[in-house]
Amino acid sequence: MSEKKKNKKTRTTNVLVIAQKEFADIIASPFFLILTATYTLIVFTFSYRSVLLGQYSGVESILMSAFSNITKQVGWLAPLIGITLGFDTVIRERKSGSLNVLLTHPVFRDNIILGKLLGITSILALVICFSMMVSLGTILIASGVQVGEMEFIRIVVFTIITFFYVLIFAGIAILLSVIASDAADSLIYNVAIWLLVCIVSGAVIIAIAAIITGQSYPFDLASKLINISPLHYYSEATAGRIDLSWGGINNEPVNAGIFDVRFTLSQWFNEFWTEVLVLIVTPITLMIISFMAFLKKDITL
Amino acid sequence: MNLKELGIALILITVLIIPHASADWSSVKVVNSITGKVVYPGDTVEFAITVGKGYNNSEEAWCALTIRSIPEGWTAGFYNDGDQITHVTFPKDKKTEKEVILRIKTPKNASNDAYSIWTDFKPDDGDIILRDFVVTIDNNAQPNLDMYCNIPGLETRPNDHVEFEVTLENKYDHRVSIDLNTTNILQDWNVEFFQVDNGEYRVTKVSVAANDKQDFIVKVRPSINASDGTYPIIVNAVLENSQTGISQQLDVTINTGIEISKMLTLFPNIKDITLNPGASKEIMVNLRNSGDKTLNNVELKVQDVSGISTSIRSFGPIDELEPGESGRIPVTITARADASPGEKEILMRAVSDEAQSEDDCLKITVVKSSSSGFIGIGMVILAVLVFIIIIYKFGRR
Repeated sequence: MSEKKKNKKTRTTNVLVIAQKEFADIIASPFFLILTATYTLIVFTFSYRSVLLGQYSGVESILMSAFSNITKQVGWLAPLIGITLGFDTVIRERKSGSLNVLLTHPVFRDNIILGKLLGITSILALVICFSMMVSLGTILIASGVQVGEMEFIRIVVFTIITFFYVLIFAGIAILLSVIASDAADSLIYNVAIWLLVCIVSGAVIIAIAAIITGQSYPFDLASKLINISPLHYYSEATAGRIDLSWGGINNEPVNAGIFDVRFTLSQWFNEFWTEVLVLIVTPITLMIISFMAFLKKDITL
Repeated sequence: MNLKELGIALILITVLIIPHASADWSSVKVVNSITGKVVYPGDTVEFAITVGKGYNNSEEAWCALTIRSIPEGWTAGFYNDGDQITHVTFPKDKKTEKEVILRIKTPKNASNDAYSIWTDFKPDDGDIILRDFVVTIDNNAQPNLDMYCNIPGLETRPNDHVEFEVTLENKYDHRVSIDLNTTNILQDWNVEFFQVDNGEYRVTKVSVAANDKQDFIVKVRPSINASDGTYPIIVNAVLENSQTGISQQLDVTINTGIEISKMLTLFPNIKDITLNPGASKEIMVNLRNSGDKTLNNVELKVQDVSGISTSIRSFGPIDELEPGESGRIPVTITARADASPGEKEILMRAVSDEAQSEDDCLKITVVKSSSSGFIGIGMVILAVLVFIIIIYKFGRR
């Protein structure tokens, strides 16, 4: 094997080892189990409640309607998973000194950050997929509602969109973890961003737009400004709505998102492919920035 | 004086005397055949009088009509074609006659007696023609009305209405207004009067022309709790502003054993469906008018059952369903997600303004999808297994 290939293999192995270490560290933490159980409970509770109450949110299938009714709760609370997983991922290692020890080994910085990114991404995927499968399975057992192939595929697509959405906040958390000097600071910054983006973004944007335009309900400007919020793209793709935040902009969608069975998946994709693209590109961009920031960061104690 | 002179004198005297000696000579004549009638206090009585030209046809003639004397509290007047008149005029060169009605209104408190009303007919040329009319008041006099029903007895079921066609005849020679009411109505029974031409308008009073008839419908709806038997319904026709009237008895026989007239029937295309919780199915319900008259506002009613929701997909009731005509109404049956498994029955009924159908039953079997159960179990087990495997493989430090 050539030297180049050998080095490449070594790097890959290093990344995977670090990823596995990161994975193991988080898994071993009881906090992770609590987090997983909490998120699973949230998804199951709200969706099963919708099934029982027969809450049809404009879509005809009861199962689709049930999951459609949880997009708001997921949009608000799921980012906390990403924040929790990533806010101290680098700081913890730096403060404990293990990062310096790690770098004394033939492990490069990019291996470390890539490994951490991979580890966190894997955990995130595991948590979201696990909670979605358990919730759906329990609903099927308890209610006996039939699930068709189309409905199953839509739930899978919803899971993937949710994963990328949460990955954005994980990327922000990792970036802040690289930049911040303290874990507490990183947490505070992350929580502030979460509040601003997921909870009050709509209300803040409406207020800003109202000040600028002087109108009491400046829908046009507000609907443009909302494009800076990741929640906007998530709510468009999953619920067809402009905003899901508290006190945000309201609209009556024609296409009610991924769970609207009146439109085929192709039609849904034709309408919302830009939103899906943003959701995919944004975390990748954030991770690239985190990667570059970590490479330049002085990690001495 | 010789005989010739005597004869001329006699002729002259005769010519001069005869016109003055003839007290009945007049430019008009007055003819009437009936000069006396018996009426009930408060009645209006009419006498027909013919006024025509007298002997002088070439000249125009007229006559003034007046009431010379009338008892106190009575009113009278001359009428022609509904208008009260005081004079009649006859053109020259024409021998014409006019029908004049002397209308006398008797007071309600008039006591039994014979009363005279004197009238004057004063021509433009000639003596006044006097006429006397006698009106006899008799409390025991029967009103000049008649009421009858060709079919005064009908049989029906409780709560099914029947209709009697009743004829009211006015034998007076003037128009009368008559109030309609009923007596002897049992509790929870309903009796109404309707026009014959269209059954939409309820009637409380009829006005019948002189010597004319008027038909109306008596619609009787027995109480839903009516037991078998014959029930008389008394229909009264009472002269307006009077207590005089006539009655007609109509008999309604209740027989709970007779068949329901199946005017309106419904046929769902499916009578037995199986649904999983959360699933829906659409059925078509056919509403048919099996009777011989048009049914209005026909609609489908569906009973609510726990765990099942129904949606009738139509634009409201069917306005009209002609005899023999059918209407199709789609109904979506949905089993709620929380519906308990088992058999449920939904009752459906077609109703209209005139009739309602018998209830029809739709059986719905709610079955929890076994495949969904297996899929659910499989998903949970798979998720847990994958979770454990991943943790075991990659979660060890």
